Amino acid sequence: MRRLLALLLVPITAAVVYVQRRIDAELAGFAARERLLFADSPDRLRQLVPGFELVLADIYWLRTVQYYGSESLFNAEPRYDELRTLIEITTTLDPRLELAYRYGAVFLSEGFPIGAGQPEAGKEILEKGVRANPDSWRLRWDLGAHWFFFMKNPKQAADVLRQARKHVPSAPFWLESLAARFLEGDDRSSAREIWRHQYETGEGVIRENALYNLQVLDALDIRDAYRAAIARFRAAHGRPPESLGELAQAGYVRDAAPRDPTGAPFVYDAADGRVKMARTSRLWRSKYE
Amino acid sequence: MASEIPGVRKVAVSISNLSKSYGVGFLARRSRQALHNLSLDVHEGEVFGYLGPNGSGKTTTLKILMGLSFAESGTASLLGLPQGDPGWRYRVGYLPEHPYFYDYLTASEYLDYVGQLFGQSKQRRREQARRLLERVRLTNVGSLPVRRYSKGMCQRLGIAQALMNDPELVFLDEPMSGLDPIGRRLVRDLILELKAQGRTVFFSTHILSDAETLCDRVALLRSGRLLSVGRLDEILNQDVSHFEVLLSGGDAAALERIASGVRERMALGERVKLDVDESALGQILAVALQSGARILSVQPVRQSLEDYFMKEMAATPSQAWPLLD
Amino acid sequence: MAAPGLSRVVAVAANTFRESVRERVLYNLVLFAVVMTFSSLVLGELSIRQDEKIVKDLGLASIDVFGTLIALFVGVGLIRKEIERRSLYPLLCKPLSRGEFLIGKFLGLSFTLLVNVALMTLGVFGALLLAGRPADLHLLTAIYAIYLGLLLTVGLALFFSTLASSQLLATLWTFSLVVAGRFSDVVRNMQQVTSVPRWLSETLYYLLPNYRNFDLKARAVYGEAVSPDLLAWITAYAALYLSAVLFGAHQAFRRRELS
Repeated sequence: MRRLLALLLVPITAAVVYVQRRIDAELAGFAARERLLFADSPDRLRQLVPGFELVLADIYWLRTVQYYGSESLFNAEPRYDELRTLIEITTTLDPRLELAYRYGAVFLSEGFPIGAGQPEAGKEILEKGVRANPDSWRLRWDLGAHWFFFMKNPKQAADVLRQARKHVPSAPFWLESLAARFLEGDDRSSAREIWRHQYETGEGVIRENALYNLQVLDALDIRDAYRAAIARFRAAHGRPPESLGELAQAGYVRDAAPRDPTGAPFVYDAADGRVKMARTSRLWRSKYE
Repeated sequence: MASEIPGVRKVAVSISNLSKSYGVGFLARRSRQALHNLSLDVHEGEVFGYLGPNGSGKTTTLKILMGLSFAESGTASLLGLPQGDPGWRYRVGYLPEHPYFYDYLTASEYLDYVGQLFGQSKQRRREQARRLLERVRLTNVGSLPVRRYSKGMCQRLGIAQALMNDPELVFLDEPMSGLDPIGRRLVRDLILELKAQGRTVFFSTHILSDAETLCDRVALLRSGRLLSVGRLDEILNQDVSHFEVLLSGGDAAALERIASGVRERMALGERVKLDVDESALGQILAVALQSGARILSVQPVRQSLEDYFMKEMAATPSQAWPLLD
Repeated sequence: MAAPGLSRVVAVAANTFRESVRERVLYNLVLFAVVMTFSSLVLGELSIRQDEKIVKDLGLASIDVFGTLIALFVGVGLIRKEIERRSLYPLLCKPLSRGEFLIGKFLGLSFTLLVNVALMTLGVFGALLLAGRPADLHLLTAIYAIYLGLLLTVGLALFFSTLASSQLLATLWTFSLVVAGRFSDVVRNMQQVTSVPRWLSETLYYLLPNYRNFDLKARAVYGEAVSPDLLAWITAYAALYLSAVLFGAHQAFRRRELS
């Protein structure tokens, strides 16, 4: 008798597993959003947990980082729909959590698919951060850099940096000089300064991003140098060179096979006489053509 | 002072017109009178028995005396001090009904704690605790947590803590409850010892035989009213009521034939017990001997406390509410 | 014997502490230690540059939560258990007044909490060191403030313990007050969002125990110094509120019939 009952355990277990899977499927769609956010309004959430806002902020920041990481790394087609809300909740719970604004803005602003491709949202996050932490020069610096690089607005960037020095007397001196540079329209060298600073002080994602951009600038410098050499060749010979080898032989450049900082060789299009980055290069973007 | 007049004894406990009622039922709408104008005195050095059925108000009286409960009217004094004065507490001991002690402590620790409350020095506490544990035969289990104690052991610990301050006046509420015969003997001896030391013992019980053997005076309580107070030999009818004769063997038929003067006949195996009027005693003994029976014993029976008690209970009607313990 | 009343209070307090040790109230510390170690070792890995902050935040929150739970549940039981089990009876017949008993119980539980909080603080510092970070002394101000709040909770628990007719009711009442006290700002702003008149919300605000006064966690974690003035004020608040509550408890307890 007992053996019979024991045998029954097998189908019962199987039935339980099956039923559970059906339940999971039913709840999946409904629970997904809920699981992520717990609440629809950051302010209301903050009000619900008096005395424990900081811990909850830490938890939400954890979820933000995990969310961003898993979307960008494991999804072929990442969707960053919840990113903004998660960052908002984190920063509402703990307005002083600077790195949530800084890294959050990076996650939001980087071009898709690395980031969410929402530089406007990133800017708003940083502005929120500055409002909540008016004495933080670092957040203002981030905001200024953001205006310059993501929003392509040097004037606004310079404004923000000048305001920084005014509101935060302890801010470093070079914020002001940088503001001046922006206004001179000296695009690449000041950009380089920004990236170099971020490379030196940042960690993780920010540092890698800075390195990438420095490499792009170097590659662009090389490309522009070669383009200038080709222009001089043209002026002298009335036609573009047949190849970079001819250019080198003629003494306009030294290296006939230039490579960008990632090691990808530049390509020379004899038809329209332009040097371009290799499309296979990691640094290539259509705008650099 | 009254005590200096020869023949007048000092009063250890004086209760005067004590009344108390409880609210019962939902929202305490009905009230039940627990004590009605109770008045009695306990003399120094006597063993006083406070008797009555369950729910008669014995424990209520003690709780009011101790300050655990509050009377509506009336006064009480202990050792000459009014009930509200904390001074008498240094000289009084109390064993509550169903005592409960902290089960995470050992008996020694509990007694030590009690000693601290009396302001005793560490030396004295240790000495006193050791002595008392020995007296109540808990020395072997003195370092066991009270959690592991039986009801009887708890009861004995309760007596020990009541005596921690060598009190002149001791209140014991149902001291024999939960004890086996050995324990009861112990408590009995203890009470007699206290009396011999000149202390006053006030103990309440519903076991009348205990009171009969130990008490100098008793009070009988029913439904919150005092039925009687006084010395046992004053209350009880000391006259012999009848004789109890125990016989064995003999001519059963002959014995059966004696009708008059025999109140009751009981066969106990091969023995026979007869309750016989005093007037008929001689005749019955003669008949028994003649029929060849052996006379095992002849006992005079006087009114026992129980008899008296039952008589009083029957005489006074009870009120029509349920008895609460 | 100098100040016999005091020595009796101390005796009761010491016994109360002994009870909490033997009844294993301190075992929550084991749970706390596990939480702290977990957080310091694992959670830090999951986030960016957060290990120190998570340890501090979680540590302070744990001290608050565990401390409150002990203060609440043990506090409510302090008097109720004694009444229900009648262990109080033999003691009150000694020269021990009800007031002395009450204060002794309060001090005993306060000391238990002190030991608990101290050990948990060491746990937080230990976890910080384990994560390779320095032990931040700013945390001590936040912990001190939390401790003041815990004392207040004990007082409230005692008050309801003497007043309410069952342990469950006493627990619910105390819990409600403690929770409401944390939402003191919501109470104060009630008149902005509901039709509650201003005088009522103001009165409630002052009447309820204001636990927000004891929340210095953000300041401590971000290394902001707290002015000694503020500390003095919140200590005064705790002392005043506590004395009112304990006085109420004493009044309720004094004339209570012990059945």
